[in-house]
Amino acid sequence: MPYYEIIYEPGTISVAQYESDEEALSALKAHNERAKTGMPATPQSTARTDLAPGDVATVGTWPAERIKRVLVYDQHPGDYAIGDLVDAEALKASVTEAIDASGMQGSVHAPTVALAVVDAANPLKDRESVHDSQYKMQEGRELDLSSLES
Amino acid sequence: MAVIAFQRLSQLVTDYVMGASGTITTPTSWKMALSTTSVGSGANMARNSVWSATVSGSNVNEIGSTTAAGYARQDIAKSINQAGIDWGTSTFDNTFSTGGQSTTADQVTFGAFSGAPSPNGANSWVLSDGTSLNAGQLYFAGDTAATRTFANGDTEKVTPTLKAG
Repeated sequence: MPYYEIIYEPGTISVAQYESDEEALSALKAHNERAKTGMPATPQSTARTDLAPGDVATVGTWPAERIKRVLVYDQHPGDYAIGDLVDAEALKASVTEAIDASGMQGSVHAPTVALAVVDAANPLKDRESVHDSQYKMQEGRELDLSSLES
Repeated sequence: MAVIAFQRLSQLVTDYVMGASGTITTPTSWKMALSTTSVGSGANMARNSVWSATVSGSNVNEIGSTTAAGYARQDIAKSINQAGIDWGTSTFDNTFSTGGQSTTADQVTFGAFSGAPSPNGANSWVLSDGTSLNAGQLYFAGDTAATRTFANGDTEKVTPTLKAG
């Protein structure tokens, strides 16, 4: 079942799992319509009877957000570097870069280099634009959203 | 709101933080999940709970594990104040009995749902790992303020906080 990285107009991102593009577009259109009419996206809330009176927090509500882009993956994009397995050459390059950046007269700050090693398996990346993917994994394709406006 | 720290979180402190274990390690990223199971006060979730499709005793069941309907786990990066969704700068509470260091992650969004996931009705959020539903480690969880029942076009937003005391 494919995974869809939904990038909303404000830059919010979620990952959703749908059976097909048709199912995806049905959900996205319903959400987008709410956004265009200023409706909330909040699900139905049923009061909890199992919480102590002092433990009941405020039930949140939020507006729906227009959908900007949707990227499609064959697997969850968070599955990058499963089992912490990363490309050896890329890791060597990252370590070398970290050593060069933190080197001090023949010494190196070991935790800084260790962070570079840890980050090599991080499935997330910094985004240049709020409408970019947040994942390192390359998407398979981008979903055509023209039907959302029809 | 009831909260719980599962065994694996404690084990990360004892084995990974204190002992630099190479086998008990943190995941590549944290995954936020929604569960039908209440945290409760001992009769629902327990410190040794595991993900399971069949709720029995202290097991934990994930929404959408039979029919996703748009549900999937959401990532929180293992970093502090970088550009993406990750943890914020931690703060310290010096209160003797309830104090500790706490950090709040950026808000994660679930959905949009395409209909009712099965099972439906979130009573808690859970910090886990991996992307397979009803699988992976449990780290900590908190009750939702209300039972959340999802339908077509809905989203859910969760902002988790961890306080280590």
